[in-house]
Amino acid sequence: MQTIMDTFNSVRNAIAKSSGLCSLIGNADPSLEIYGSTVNSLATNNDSDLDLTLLVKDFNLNHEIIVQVVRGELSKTGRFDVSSNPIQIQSGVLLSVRDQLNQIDVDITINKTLEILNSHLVNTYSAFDIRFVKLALLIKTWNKARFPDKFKRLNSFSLYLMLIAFLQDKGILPNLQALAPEQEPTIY
Amino acid sequence: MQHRAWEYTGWADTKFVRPEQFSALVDTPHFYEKMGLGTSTEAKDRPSNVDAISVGQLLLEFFAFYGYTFDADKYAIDIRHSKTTKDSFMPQPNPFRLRQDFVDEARRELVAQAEGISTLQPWSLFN
Repeated sequence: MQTIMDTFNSVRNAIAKSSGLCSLIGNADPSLEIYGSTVNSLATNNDSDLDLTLLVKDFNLNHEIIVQVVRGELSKTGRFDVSSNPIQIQSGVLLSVRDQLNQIDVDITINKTLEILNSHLVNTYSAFDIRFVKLALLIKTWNKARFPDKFKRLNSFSLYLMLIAFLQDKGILPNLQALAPEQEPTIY
Repeated sequence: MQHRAWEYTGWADTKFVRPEQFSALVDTPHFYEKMGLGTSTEAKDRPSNVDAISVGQLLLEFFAFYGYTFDADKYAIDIRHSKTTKDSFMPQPNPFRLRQDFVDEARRELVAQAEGISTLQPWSLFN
C-alpha cells in the first residue's frame, strides 16, 4: 500500500505544480481522487493498477486536452512511462501511464465521480463479511485469467454487483442502497 | 480527501483497516448506527446458518446462481448461455471452462476453511 500511495503522491505532486493545468481547469488545487481496487479493499498484490480521476469543475472542458496536459507533466518527472496515447472510452478519455519506480500501472480519467462512490460502496460491503472479499478476489482473479484483454471482459465492478446480489439473496449481505435515506432531488 | 472511504465508515483515523479487523469493527453499535442499520442485534437478525457457509460452497453457488454449472468430474465450471434474464450478466455467450489453477485455488480454500486457515491473504497489501 505504501508504494501505491507513493505513486499517487507522485502523480498528485506533478499535477499540483502544473500552472498550465491550473489555468486550464480553473482549480487552484486540482483534486485528484483514488477509486477502484485501492479503495474498495479488493486489491491484489501483483496485478492491481491505480485508478485515479481528476475532478474538474467545468464540465465543458475537453477531456482529451486535460489528459494531454497531465501526460506532459508526468513526462517531465522522468519517472513515468507515458508512451501510450490516451484512448477514448465510453465515458471520456483514459490515460494509462506506468510508474517505472514502483512498477505500477496508473489509469487517469476525468470526473469519474460515480466510480468514486461505487468504490466506497463496495468497500463498505467488504467490511460486512470477509467471505465477500475472498469470493470477489477469486472471481476477479478468474475473470482476469480467463479474459486477459481488459476491454473484452466484464469489468470487476460488474462482477462485484453480481456477487453482492447473490450474497444478499443468501442473507449474508444487507442491501445498503435500500437503507440509504431518501433525499429530495435538487430542483434548479 | 483520498481517505474518504474510511471517513464514510467512520474510521477516518484508522485509515487502512485490515479486513481481518473488520469483524471486530462491525461488531460495534457505532458501525451499525453509521450504516443506518439500527442496533447490532437488529442488524444480525438474519438466517442463523449463513455464517457456516464456506467460501468454496458460496463460490459454486454463485456460479450456479447465474446459470453456471459445475462439472465435478473434470473440476471445471461450464458457463452456458442461459435463457433467463440473467443473460445480460454473462461474460461470454459460449461455454468455457474455468482455469485449472483457479479451481485448484478454490479447492485449497475449501480445505483451508475446514482447517480454519485461509490461504487467501487479500489484506497482505495492508501489512
